[in-house]
Amino acid sequence: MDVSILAINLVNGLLWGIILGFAAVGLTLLWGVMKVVNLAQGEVILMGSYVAIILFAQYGLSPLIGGLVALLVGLAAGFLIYWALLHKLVGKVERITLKIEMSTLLAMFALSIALLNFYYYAFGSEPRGFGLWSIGVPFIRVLGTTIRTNILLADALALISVAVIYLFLDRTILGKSIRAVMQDAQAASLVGINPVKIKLLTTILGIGLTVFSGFMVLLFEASVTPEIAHKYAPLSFVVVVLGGLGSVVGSLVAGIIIGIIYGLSKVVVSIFNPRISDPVALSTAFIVLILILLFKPEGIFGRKR
Amino acid sequence: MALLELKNIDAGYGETQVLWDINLQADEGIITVMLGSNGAGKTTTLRVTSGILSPWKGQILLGGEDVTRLPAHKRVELGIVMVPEGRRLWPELTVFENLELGAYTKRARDKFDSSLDLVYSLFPRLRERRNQLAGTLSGGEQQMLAIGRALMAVPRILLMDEPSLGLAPKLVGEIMNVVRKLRDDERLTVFLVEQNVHMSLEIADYGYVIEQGRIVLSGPKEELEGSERIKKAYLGL
Repeated sequence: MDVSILAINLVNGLLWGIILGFAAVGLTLLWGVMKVVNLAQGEVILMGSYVAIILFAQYGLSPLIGGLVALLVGLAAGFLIYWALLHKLVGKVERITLKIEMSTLLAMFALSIALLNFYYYAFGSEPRGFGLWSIGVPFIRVLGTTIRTNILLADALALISVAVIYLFLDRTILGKSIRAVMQDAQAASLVGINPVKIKLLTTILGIGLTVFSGFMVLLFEASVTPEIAHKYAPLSFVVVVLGGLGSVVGSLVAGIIIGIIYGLSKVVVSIFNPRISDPVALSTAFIVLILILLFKPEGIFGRKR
Repeated sequence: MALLELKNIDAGYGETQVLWDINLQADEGIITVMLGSNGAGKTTTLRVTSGILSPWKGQILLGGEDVTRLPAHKRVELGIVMVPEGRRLWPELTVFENLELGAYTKRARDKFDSSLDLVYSLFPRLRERRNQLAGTLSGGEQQMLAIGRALMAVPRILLMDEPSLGLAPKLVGEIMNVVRKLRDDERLTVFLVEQNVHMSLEIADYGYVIEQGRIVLSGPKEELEGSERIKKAYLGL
């Protein structure tokens, strides 16, 4: 194999993996803190993409403003999802049992169906995007290949966001309270932490970040269709399990690993049959998932339970 | 003066009643203990007092104020703070972060520095280990941290659930000395439940004995020490 092709795919895998890792941060928080398995992950990601698209196509606003609005819409959506779907199920319970977990899972599944069908209804199945928009030059040349500047913008935003959320969880009292509730919710209420407040905050943050990541996904993919939910949702789950439940840094590292594995397997398969390279690469990611579950079920940065 | 009062408390889990008409009080500035064997209802009494479990019937008063309907985190704001059974630390947070979150309420945060000084002077080991993850501490150190975290919340009454459980005798003595010191130096009110009758009667001022969910005996320490029932059932005399 040509060495430069390998290098290009490694770089592409890295650039994509950062986006993938960030897209899974919200999922890992909701899952880790509240045991809420967000089956609407893919559709929630798309919410951010479509908010930015509407503002761009309908109102002529810059995608940069669209991205900011997407974040705000995401935070608001988190607020609504908590009070409309989750509060009754997990709000006041001390220990989240399997039964409650199944209930929230179904609630999020219902949300995913509703959102997906709404996207088809509102936006159709045609690819939608920002067209030729970019900041500055559309391409730069690296290692003898060209990279779209939009991808670099998306990666920069994703990395900054991960750093901010990491510092928030690591350094602030509110962030530490979230980690405390994740580890032992009852002990948290015994020092005066209101578990409902923390669960609400976690949902706002988790959904908000996921929606925001949809903006990065759009920048990376150049255009989206509702179908893309079915690519990002399963990969997000692989990333969360590999990274370890509730670990933001784990999510980023796992995203990069999966991105690179996905990219490399695509190259290898392309040599034999380019038409099946995408599905085979996706399968490879899931083989990784099975291997983790077999040999290191707590993930790279997770703790043993 | 009664700081904490439980009146006619019935409580249980699901269909199973554990506590039957519990009446007790913990007076200000002294150590009150509840003695009883495993499964007698000691932990349930504390869970009801701290607000983790709602009683089926009865009232809980703090300084005469009815707190029966308040959730646990609201009771912490009022000063009912518990050192729970099994310590319940956050293993992936550092010693310092555990203490820091102990002072989560507004009232406690205002006294953060003086509380931290108190905790570090009682348990110098916690200062040495402040950047270590709580999960890596030894059992004795974890118990110290659990008490330290509760003190950071600036309790008006400190509830302690079997602090001696699983500790070596020497450590039990150390912990008990700290409790005594908190009463004498800080005028802290303590309500402690224990299986270890010897040790708890040593530091107690007043005590209750609970058997099968009912209080069967109560009185000042000297009276309990002299009681035939206690001698027979718990001290093996």
